[in-house]
Order: sequence, then C-alpha cells, then structure tokens
Amino acid sequence: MKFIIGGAIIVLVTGWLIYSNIESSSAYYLTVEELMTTGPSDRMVRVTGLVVGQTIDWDPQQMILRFDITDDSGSLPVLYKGVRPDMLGDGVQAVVEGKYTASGIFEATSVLLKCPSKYTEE
Amino acid sequence: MAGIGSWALVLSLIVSLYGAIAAFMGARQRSRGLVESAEKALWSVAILVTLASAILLYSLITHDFQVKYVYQYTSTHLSPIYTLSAFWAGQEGSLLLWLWLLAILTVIVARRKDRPGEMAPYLLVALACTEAFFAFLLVTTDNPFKTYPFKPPEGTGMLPLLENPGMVLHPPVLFLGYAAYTVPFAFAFAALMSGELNTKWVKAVRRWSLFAWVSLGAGILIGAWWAYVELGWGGYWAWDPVENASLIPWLVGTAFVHSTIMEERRGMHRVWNMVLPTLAFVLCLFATLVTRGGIVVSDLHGFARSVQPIAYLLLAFMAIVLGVSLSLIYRHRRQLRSDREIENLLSREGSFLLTNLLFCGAALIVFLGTVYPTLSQALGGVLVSLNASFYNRTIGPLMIAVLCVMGICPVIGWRQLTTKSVKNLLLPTLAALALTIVAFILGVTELFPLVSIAICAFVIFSLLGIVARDAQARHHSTGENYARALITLIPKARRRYGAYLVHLAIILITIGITGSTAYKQEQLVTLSPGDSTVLRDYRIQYEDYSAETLNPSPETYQSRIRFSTTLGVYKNGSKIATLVAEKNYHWVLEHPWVTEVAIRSNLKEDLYVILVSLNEDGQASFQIIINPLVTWIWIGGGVLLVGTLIAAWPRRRAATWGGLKCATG
Repeated sequence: MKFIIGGAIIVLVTGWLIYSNIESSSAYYLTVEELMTTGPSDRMVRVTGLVVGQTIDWDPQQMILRFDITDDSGSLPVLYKGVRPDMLGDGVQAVVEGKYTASGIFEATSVLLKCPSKYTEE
Repeated sequence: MAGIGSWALVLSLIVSLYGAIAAFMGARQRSRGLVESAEKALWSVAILVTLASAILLYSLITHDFQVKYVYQYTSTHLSPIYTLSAFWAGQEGSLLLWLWLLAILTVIVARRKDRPGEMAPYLLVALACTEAFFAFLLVTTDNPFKTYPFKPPEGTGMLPLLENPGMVLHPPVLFLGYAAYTVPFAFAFAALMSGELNTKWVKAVRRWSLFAWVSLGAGILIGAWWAYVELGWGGYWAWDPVENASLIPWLVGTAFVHSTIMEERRGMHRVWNMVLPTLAFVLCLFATLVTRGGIVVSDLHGFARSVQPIAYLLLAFMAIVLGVSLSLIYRHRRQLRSDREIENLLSREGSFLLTNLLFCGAALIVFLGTVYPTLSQALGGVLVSLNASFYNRTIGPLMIAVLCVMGICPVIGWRQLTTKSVKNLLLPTLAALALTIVAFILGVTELFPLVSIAICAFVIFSLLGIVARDAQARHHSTGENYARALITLIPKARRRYGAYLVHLAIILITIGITGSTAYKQEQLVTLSPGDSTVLRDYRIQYEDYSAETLNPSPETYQSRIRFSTTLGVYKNGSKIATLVAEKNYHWVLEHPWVTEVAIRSNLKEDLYVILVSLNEDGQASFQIIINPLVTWIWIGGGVLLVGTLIAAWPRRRAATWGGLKCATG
C-alpha cells in the first residue's frame, strides 16, 4: 500500500512538473500573416521564413543584425542583438524567436538556422 | 567489389533468418543439432557482415568514388583517419556499423556456454531476428554499396563539422551502446520464452547491461564534447531532439542497471526487469527513427524533411518487439511476482524503487518533450515547440531527487530504517549544510548553485562516510592500519566500490554542469589588430590575422579559405596563452562558413573564443566566454568509465564469493 502511494506521488509530481512548465516553455509558431493580424504583443513566438539576402545588415561595432524573412503570407523585418550566425544567407530557412514590437519590427532573442542535412543529399 | 558487399549483405539477411528459425525450432523440439546449426549460422553472419564492412572500408581507403557512399562522404583531400571515419558519416554506413557491432556481440553471447539451460536457443532467436532486421534495412532502403555506372574523378567530401576527433569516436561508441542493448533485451525475451524466470538470467545479464550502459553514456558525453569544441556556440547540450533521442534509452538503462540489483539480491522488481531492457532496446530504435526517419520536428537539424521509408520499417519492428514482449510479460505475470513486499519506503528497497521511478519519469519527460512538436502539429494543427527551459525545469528537480537518493541509499539498510543509519546520515547532512552556508557567505547567492553545492557535498560526505566505516570495521577485525585495510577491501567488494566511483563521477559531472550554467560570463567585442579587451581578470589582445587557401583543386568540401586570428591571453600582466580562432570559407558548400573556436582549458574554467566576423582591414568581432568547471564534465566521464570497468570486470571464482559476502555485509 505504501508502495502504491509512493509511486503515485512520483507520478503526480512528474505530471505536475510537465503540466506546470509546458505552457511557459512553449513557443508557438506563427506565419507572418498571423503575426501581423494579432499585432504587437509581449508573448514570445516563433516565426519561420526564408532570409532575404539583400536585406541582411550586420553592424559588427554594435553587434546588431537586421534582416527580413519571408513566407507565403508576407515579409517581416527582424532585429537581433548578438552574433551573426555562420549560415545566414539568401534563402536560408530561419526560425526567429522573440516579440513583435509596436514599431513593426520583430525583436528576436534567438535566431536558428536549419542545418543543411548531411543525410539528404542525393 | 561493391557487388560482393551487396551480396554479403543479402546472404547475411538469409542466413540470419535461417538462424532465427533454426534456433526457434531447436528450442521447441529440444534438438541440439538445430541449435548448433543456428549458432553456426550466426558465426557466418558475423563473417559476412565483417566482409561487407571490410569492403566498405577498402572502398573508402582506395577512394573508389564509383561507390555512391564513398563519393558522397569523402574526397582525396581528406586525411586517412577521417577517410576511415566516413564509414559512419552517413546513414547507410552507420546502419552497417550497427549491424557489424551487433553481429560481433552476438557471436560473443553465443560462444559462452554457461547460459542457464533452456534459455540459450531463444537468446539466439532474438539476436538473429534483430540482425535480420538490420540486414533487411541495408538490403532494401539503405544499401551502402550503391554504385554509379561511371567513376567520378573526385568525391564531394566530408562536411567540415564532421572533421573532428569527436566524430571519429562518438558514432562508434554510441552505436556500440545501441547494439549492446539488444543483448539485455534478448536475455529478457529468452527468459520469458523459456519460462526460466528465476534470477539466474539477471545475474547473467548484469555485465551486458553495464557494458551497454557505459558505452551509451560515453557516446553521449563524446557527442556533447564534440558539440562544445566544434559547433561553436559555447555550450555542450541544447536539448535538441537528436541529443534527447540518445539520452532516453540511457535513462531507462540507468533504471535497469539498478533494478537488476534488486532482483539479484531481494528477488524483487521482476516485472521491471522484463520491461526495462525491452524499453531500452526499443528506445535505441526510436533514436534512429528520430535522427533518420523524418518524423520528429527539430529546430536545429534539418535532417530528412519528409517521412522516410526507413521510418515505417523501424516503427513496424518496434511495434512487433513491444507487442510480443509485453504480451509475454502479461502471460507470465504470476511467475513474475516479487518474492517479498517492500516493508518500508525508507529502506534500501524503497530507495531503489524511487530510483527506478525517477529515471523512468525523466525518460518520459524527455520523450514527451521530443515528440511534443510533432504531436501538437498532428493533433492540434499548430506547431508548438518547447525550449530548453522546459527540460531544465522538469528534469532539474527530478535529477536533484536522484542525487539525494544517491547519497541516502548506500547508507541505509535493507528492509527498514534503523537509528544507526539515521546517525550515519546526520553527519553528511550537517557537513553539507555547513559547506553551503560557507558558500553563501563567500557570495553564492542564487538558488540553483546553492542547492547543487548542498547536494553534491552531501553525496560526497556520505560516500566518504561509508568508505571510512568500511576501513574502520576492517581495522577493528584484522588490526590492519586504515590505509591497508582500505586497499585490501576494495578488490573484495569491487562491485560496490565501482558503483561508488560511478556515483562520484555523476557528482563531478553535476559540478561541471552547475559551474558552466550558473557562472558563465560572456562578452561580445569588436577589435582592430593590436587592440585588447578585458573580461574579468583576463586581458585578451588581438594580435594578428591571416588568410590562406587550402586544397584549392579539385574542388571538394575540404577546399577552403582559412581566415585566422591570433589572440594573446594575459593574466596579471603576463602572457599565459596564444589562441587561434578561425573562420573557414568552404566555397563549395551551400552554407560555406564554418567556425573553429579557440579554447584554453584548465580545471578551473575554459576561456572560449569565437571569431564572429572579420573585415578586410583586419577588424574582427569576437565572442569571448568564460565557462567555469566545464573540464569536470569530461573528467567525470573518465571516472564513470573506470568505475564501471571496476564493477563489471570479470573475476576469478574464489574472489566472487568474497565479493558477494562483502557486498551483503
């Protein structure tokens, strides 16, 4: 009996840990259009799109990176303070995580670029 | 040549299928002849797969670019060691490596004649079926011996990220772990099929389980090391699905390593010991499904973009294994009853149970987190992914609990908590508290490092207490001095002391993780040659830069322009190191820029320098990171290996009894 109670407590604690953290750690993926419709918000979201080569502007003095990403529904200016990723270039698929600000600029806290897969070359 | 390789794989598929059927019929009809024939079949499979692997290696060394695999992953610019490691640079080669390792392990298992009675043939059935499955994959979807009708003059080359010592070691060690987890599963399956469910099989499987566990663990750590020195983002673990996929079977395997002790010693946890090895094996297949199947959504890795044919085959095999094993366990549920019940949760039995639950809980969380984006997309239609904070906040508390149990369990007795063991726990608790207060006064104020210090100190003091009491007991009974008592004691209780060493290794790794997570310092700076910057007590001077072109023709992935910057590191006015941070432009690659970080490492901290960008006039941007205590993670990995070897090394019969008695006492 004690054994069942002990086991149940662990299961409950694990379940609670998952439940209580899943919302705060979730990042929703939105399209550019969905982001524009919802408007500026304090919520952290992710947007996936292709990097537009001509718009990349990297200021090494200030360590500020600006670029636009586009998807089927529109394009979005992104501002990121930090290191310019190696793979950044025209047409690279990027996942930016951050907030959409009132100025219409997406302030990213992280920029992930999808690795070229070593397994899909044919 | 490649044709022979293909045929060797086809033959190994047929022969392993024959082996499985012969072993099964042999077991049913109690025919020694059939079983021996199955054993011979498995030897033949090992020889055939070794032949296939040798041919692939030969094709790689001789740069036979007519073979697609050789063309895709190597070039003449590649150094001999990386030409060999290209064997496991791609999917086909890594599956062949898996099968090769499995075939060798199978022969070792089949060769040993000390298996308890009826089990042995069924052991061969499970191993032969798994071999057949991998041979099937290699023959159908993933043949490494596909050729071009002509011979290209040069190969495309290896991705620069894979040109690293970590990538020479990481895949084979990891795959050794994956392949080795077939053996505990096969033992569980054989015990169920033969109905020989007494604890003998658990004794026979213990060393295999440790072997698989330590290989997988070492593989994961080498992977983390590779990510740290090669990927150039300053960290070693990102909770990426690919990393998670290898961690899940290891967590389940950790539970199994502990659970077998309970069955051996107390006749308990018998259902656990059937379920855990089966799960660990299936989760190793799941790891391949994640990395190669194209099902799981990953932020970082593109991997396969659409669901691959191999995914369906893997899913089908996983379903069969789970279905058969679970229904067998259900059918034998009565024979699998525990000999005893847990009398008190605050006993060693209770803490072993807790260990199992905690590790399985952690495995479940990592599993759910890994498949969550896929599930949310499939079920809710929205893609939702979880970031690292999810894992830190869920796995963190569970691991803290695991570490607490690690300090308590070896001290308390079987069956119940005695006042004596409470007394033995009191001193480590007080010492740990005292140390934590000292740390607080010295300036450690955040919760996470404080908790970590308290628990690490508690576990270390608790382990020291056990060792001290052992030495004292022997000193009293034999009159030997303490040092000598300890030296004579350790070989007699190798299993126990090996386990303590492994626990110590986990503490070292925890210390490394805590230091590098809580006290990471970083700076982004742009400098011109001759300028310097100060980060804490380091002064870093940007001395010079250069550019050179390497391997210009023929053009392969190894063709590059190397831009390198030299930095002098000064501390207290004197120069302590010269670092070279690079950026390489591989113009053939779709994403041509590859960073090579510079690391100055010592026991206290790593100075980690990333060259972010370099202008034509030599002006360069750097990301400079101080990562405290990272080295302890790698040292912990070494101690883990040594501890496991001490615990698992085969011993002479006479010594076994001494060890057992000692471990009981």
